[in-house]
Amino acid sequence: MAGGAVDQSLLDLLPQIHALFSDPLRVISYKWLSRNFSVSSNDAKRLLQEFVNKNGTDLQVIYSVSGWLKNNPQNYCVKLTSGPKLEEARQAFKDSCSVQVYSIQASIPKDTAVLWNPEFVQAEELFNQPFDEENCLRDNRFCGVLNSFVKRTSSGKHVSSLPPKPINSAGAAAQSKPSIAPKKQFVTARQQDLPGLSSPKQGAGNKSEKDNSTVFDKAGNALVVKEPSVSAHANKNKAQNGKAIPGNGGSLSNMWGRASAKPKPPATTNSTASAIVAATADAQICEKEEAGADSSDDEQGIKYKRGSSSANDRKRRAVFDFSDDEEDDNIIRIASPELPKQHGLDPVTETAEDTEANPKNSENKDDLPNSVKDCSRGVDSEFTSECKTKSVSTVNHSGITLKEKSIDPPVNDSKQDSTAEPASTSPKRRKVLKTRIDDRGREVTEVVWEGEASAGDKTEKNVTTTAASGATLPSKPQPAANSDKSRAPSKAAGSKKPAKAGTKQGSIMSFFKKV
Amino acid sequence: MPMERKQAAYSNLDERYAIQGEKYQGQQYSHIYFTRLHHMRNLLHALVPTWKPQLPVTTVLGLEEGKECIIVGTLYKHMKLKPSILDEYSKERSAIPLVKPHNFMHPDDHLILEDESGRVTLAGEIPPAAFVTGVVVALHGKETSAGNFLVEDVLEAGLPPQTALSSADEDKYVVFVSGLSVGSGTFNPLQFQLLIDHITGHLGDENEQTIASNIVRVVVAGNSVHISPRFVNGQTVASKDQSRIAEPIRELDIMLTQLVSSLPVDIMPGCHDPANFSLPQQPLHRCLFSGASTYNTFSSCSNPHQFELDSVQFLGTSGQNIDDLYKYSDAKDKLEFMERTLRWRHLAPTAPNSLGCYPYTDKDPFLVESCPHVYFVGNQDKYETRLLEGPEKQKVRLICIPRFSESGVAVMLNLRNLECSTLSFSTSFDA
Repeated sequence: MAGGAVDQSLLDLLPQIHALFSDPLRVISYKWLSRNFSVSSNDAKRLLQEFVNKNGTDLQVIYSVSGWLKNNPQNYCVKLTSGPKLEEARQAFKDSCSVQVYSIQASIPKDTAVLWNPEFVQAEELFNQPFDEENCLRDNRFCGVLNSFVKRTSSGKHVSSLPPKPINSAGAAAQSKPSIAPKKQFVTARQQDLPGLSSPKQGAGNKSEKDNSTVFDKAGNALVVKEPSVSAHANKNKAQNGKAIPGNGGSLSNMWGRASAKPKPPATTNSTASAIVAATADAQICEKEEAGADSSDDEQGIKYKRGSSSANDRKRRAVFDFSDDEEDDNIIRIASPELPKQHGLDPVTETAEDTEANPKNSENKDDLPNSVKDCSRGVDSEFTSECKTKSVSTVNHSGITLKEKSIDPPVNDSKQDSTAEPASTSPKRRKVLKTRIDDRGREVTEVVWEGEASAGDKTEKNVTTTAASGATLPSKPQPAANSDKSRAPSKAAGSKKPAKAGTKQGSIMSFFKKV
Repeated sequence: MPMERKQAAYSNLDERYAIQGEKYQGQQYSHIYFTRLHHMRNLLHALVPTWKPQLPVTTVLGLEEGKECIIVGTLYKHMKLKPSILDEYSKERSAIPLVKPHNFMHPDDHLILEDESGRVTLAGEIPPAAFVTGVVVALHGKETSAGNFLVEDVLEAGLPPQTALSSADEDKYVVFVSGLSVGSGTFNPLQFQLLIDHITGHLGDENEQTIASNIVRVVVAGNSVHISPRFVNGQTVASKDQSRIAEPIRELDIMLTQLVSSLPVDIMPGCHDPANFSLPQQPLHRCLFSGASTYNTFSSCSNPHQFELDSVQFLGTSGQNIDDLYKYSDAKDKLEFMERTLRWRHLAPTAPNSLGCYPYTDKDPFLVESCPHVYFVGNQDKYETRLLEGPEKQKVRLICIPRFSESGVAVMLNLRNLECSTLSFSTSFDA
């Protein structure tokens, strides 16, 4: 039905849809598409129709059929139906009913929430943007019915609306990005993703430039040496802007840092920009997988493997799918709705933290310094700051980072080990290993650190799943968060919100708060 | 390209339900009954000369045995099964029979008429099942030797006068939805999203969006969120549960934001919403809806809710008044209850007897002084509607709005002719 009506500019989006569609778990609904590519709902529906026309065989379509019912002329019905049932469903409607593509996916989901959730996550992201910002959720700009009488007041002033997602334009990467106050939601994380890459300057970073440089110099050589200075800076900064950024992630990553007595030299982290790009893209894709997939621990294991050694294969695939120039690459990255939590680069901060004596200092300062140093760092730091709310993504980071640095696997291992094992060497701590079989039949190894006296006598607990590869990865609070999120949608309504506080996460956080 | 949404002139008439400047000084409910009786008696006295001009009007105290007369007073329905808090404290095991599943009716129920001077038990042509405590009526009859009053005829105040409808020539729709129960097990978010997408003009082809563009207002009639009862048991809520309580409200806020960014929305509190319990329920606080409340199209309203749209008068509740009538009286359907409340000229006669109500001292806000053109009640089991016609050419569209979370049905009313249709949403694509 759409056919001729579709503009060329819209058709240009088809390859991107194709790329998105390559994720087997993704549900692409017209509304999600419309927001994601900044096209109107009607165009998005046409686009999907076009896509179905071209690739009809290997996808499942859910149609929305709407119109007056034959058996109850006073009832206007809107019905979702799968492709095979379409004709049957249509029988119940009068002739003038409308049939449009609602969503496409690889398989028909069992639970309606699966259909709804990506859209809601997206809506929530938009909803969580600062109040004075206009976006397509707030002005409903993509619908077919306009209402010029709707007015919105955002604390008195009206902010000019800027397209929430520049994805549509090829130059997205270059587009200057409004600096958004760090928000808890990963939404913003996603947005910042881009600018971080292209423009190294961050508002926050400037402040502590000096500190940074020192940190980095030393970092370049041997991080071990400089503990005191860093911690000092850290304290200072902390005092300055401690409140500005939520500290949870900081303290957590800090914890990981402390676990390693000998931080690995981060010297390698001075990677080229291109490497970073690749890494981020990769990370993001992994991210997607994590969020999209059922994210069992097993999968995580696999992911790590891919990340650390063979890697890239995901990314390559995506690139091959379309015409693969840099822009496309960027586009994909931006377009992915799950937040690119960019663990990739984190190790830098991690190692920096390792050196810190004071466990309380969180990434704030670390971030800042990094950002100044070079853009890779900047990106990194930004992400980490965003990631904080997700709490601890450090582990992930280490895995991916290694790859990114193009260091051979063994190094990775050692690195990972370093996070896990140093503590055992540390005189102050005792390591307790507990292995059990969890309810999903996997072997779970818990590494419990019991530290005495030192800065905060806390017990750190890492839950590790031994993956098939045999590599023991230090725990993954991050995956836990993700899995919570992705699993949640399939549950019933209210409680499912991906937003904050999965139970697991919550409990960990509260634990640290207590400390 | 995108079409423009139609507009309708709206004025909110909720002031009478606002509790402002009222000071609770330990007063009881007698004032409400007094005000109600006073007001209704004036109405009924004016009607009596045309009803039975030959009969004298007297008071309960002035009754004489065997003499036909008319008395005006407030009905009290004596019910065996009516739950009483005192039952819990009675020492003896009571011989009261079991309550029927849906209400407290019993064949032994009887009516008593009260005025300021006294009370008298009623018998005769007045079926207890059709009346409830708190209704004011005029009765024609005589006192029997047993001291009862034998009723021969009943006069209710009847439908209030109604303003004439100006004729409109274009279709404009108002959508009613109730019982969203965001956060409950039965809530289907996709279904609600479809409703929103339909109303806001995302779904469907041009025809459908044309219909959508004629929708001028959405009324959410109560029970929009569901908060698990375990959180409202009077215990302190653990900090980790606090966000869980807020979750449904937040989700509702996000959904409402999508609505209000497109058209005006009235949201009324219901019995499960975070509002006060007793009628009239005051508007949900705007801070609950940090997103939606920034729009000029968002209006948080009281329950009952009264407004005017293009000169069509609306009156509605979130369902408590009708649900309570259902517990204490009998009718063939919910619409009949609604009709009765209009004929009694009282939205909630069982308040304050069995329905929570603010102890007003100077007024009874639930008296219906003018007849609405549309009378809606939310949170009912199923969709029902009827056009009620009164003796003075009043026309009232009665609407029972079903719970959306259970039925997936919203009600669409055409302002032009007061015709009703339904919007139903089905998401069972794999079945």
